[in-house]
Amino acid sequence: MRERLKLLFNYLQLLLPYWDKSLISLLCVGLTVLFGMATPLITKVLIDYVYPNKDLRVLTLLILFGLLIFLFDTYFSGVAGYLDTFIHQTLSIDLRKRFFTKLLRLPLDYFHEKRVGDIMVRVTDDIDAIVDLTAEIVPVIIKTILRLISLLIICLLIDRNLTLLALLGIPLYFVQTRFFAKRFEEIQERSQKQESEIYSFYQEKMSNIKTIKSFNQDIHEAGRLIDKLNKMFALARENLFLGLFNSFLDSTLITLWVSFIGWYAGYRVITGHISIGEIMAILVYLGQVHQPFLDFGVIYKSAVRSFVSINRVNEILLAEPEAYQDVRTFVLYEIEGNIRFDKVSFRYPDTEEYVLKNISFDSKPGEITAICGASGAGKSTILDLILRFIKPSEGAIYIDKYNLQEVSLMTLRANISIVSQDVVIFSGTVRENLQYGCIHPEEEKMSSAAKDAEIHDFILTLAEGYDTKIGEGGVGLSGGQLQRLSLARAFLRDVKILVLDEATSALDSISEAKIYENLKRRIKEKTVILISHRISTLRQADKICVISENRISESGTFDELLSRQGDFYEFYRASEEKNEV
Amino acid sequence: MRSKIKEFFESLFTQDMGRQARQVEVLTIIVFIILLFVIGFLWQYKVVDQLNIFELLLSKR
Repeated sequence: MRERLKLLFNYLQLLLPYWDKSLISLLCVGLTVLFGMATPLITKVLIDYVYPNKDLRVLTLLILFGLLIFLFDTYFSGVAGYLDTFIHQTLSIDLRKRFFTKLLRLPLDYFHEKRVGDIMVRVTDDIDAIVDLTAEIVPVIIKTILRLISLLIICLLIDRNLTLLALLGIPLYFVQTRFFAKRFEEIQERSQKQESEIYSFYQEKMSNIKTIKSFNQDIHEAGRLIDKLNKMFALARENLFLGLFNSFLDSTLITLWVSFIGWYAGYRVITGHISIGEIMAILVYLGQVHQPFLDFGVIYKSAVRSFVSINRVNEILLAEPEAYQDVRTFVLYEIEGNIRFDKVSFRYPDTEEYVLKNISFDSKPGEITAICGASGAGKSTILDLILRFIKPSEGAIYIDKYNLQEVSLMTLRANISIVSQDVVIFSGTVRENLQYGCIHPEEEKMSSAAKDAEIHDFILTLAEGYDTKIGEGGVGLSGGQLQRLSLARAFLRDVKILVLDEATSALDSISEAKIYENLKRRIKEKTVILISHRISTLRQADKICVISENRISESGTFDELLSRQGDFYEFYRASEEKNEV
Repeated sequence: MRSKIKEFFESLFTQDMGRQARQVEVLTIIVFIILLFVIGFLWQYKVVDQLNIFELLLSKR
């Protein structure tokens, strides 16, 4: 319990920037509670004094007083609602921003472990639940306590015996709320897990719609979805039955309690202890006493649901991020761009098998260094190592004289431009996509980069040129056009190190040769690392490192490697047989 | 003075939520002060038998 309160307190601190608005909102809530107490008291005076004494003046004053209360009550409850909504919305934006920023700073491994659908549920439903709790718990608790205290004071003033008897029913209500809350929490936890699974399922199927269609698996996939939805439905049904039983017990307890109090109140009137006006007022108040308890019950159940969400969101908020800008690291401000792999080995945690073993090579500015090898040889792992998505299990990588593990991650990635084999285009215009990651994009530089990537002419044929929308909901582009766009984006960033991972695999040899001709003009002082298994691409390199059985088996220029008749020669012959040369 | 009041009420309908919320806060504090004055007046005003309206409402019989 203490642990949970601590968690809640951490989130309540998010309200600190809005302390003034929260305070005014609480003041308004308090006033509306007090205004709500007036009507039964006015009725009491009308019955006990005004009507028997036929006092028209007091009648008029009481009605005017009632109208005045109505006006203030309307204003203050409106303001409380407005400020609560303001705090709720702003808090939601704050928390989503904090969550998303943290999410983007988590290491890549994290995204391998968690499915996208699961993260989506956390970013939407879980954050909503936390915001609901954080923004509403304090006003509801204050409102409830204030209402309860006011009701009790007024009731005690009217009839002490009746009020004390009415209070005896309270512990019973708490016992049953606690009993049900535990069961609700357990169902909630299972529901959220199941919901994450359904989101992940949708996300995975939508991303692979082509494969599903080509394998004729649409009916089979729909069946799998129904299984998952049925499980969700079973949980919803369980929740519903428990909720119904809980409501039934709530209402029964309250009705029995109020009935008994009603009988006793009548007895007090008959025996002359209280007046008719007083009994009218006290019965209205005692009828309202159950409301604070119902409110407590609702907020308690909401809190139970939110604690499951808090744990899920905290899993991400408290996860160890990548060291983006650690003070102990070197800042790569102006670098030459020398890359050196020094006896680098890599294996994934918890596995014995090495993906790369004892890799050493140099790559200098103005030089294109190619890494080639069969599929699965570990070529792309080299790229991940350079970008520090993963770190070497043994050995070290240097940029100029700095060990990669000791440089600031933010400045490291600011010096590297990458074109990966999975081209990513964001929803937006061609211009926005090209300028992605550019600090000061210039129009002239952008068109020059597009020309060098052989995509400029195509862009001009689009309806709105560089302002044409592409990606989701925009113009569709072919694989080759996407690769050219991705190359143009990398050229535009104009950084010291350029990594091309199968960047021209979807292009024909003539276009590829043109692009490399342009690239060579651009890279006079830049280091280029080329990852490919295409002979036409490898011809463009100044130096080739051949990876075979997780090691560099040989390295040299294209012609040198051919003349050695080693692994590269075999690789060349195999490509020749496949007519790739 | 009149233009300032006009400006104040116009800003209540601004698109800037932060500014609007601040103006609502100011207006609420003004209304709250008015409420205190009203309560003060009602406290002084005797409705019946030297009882003010609050005493009348909470009186027995």
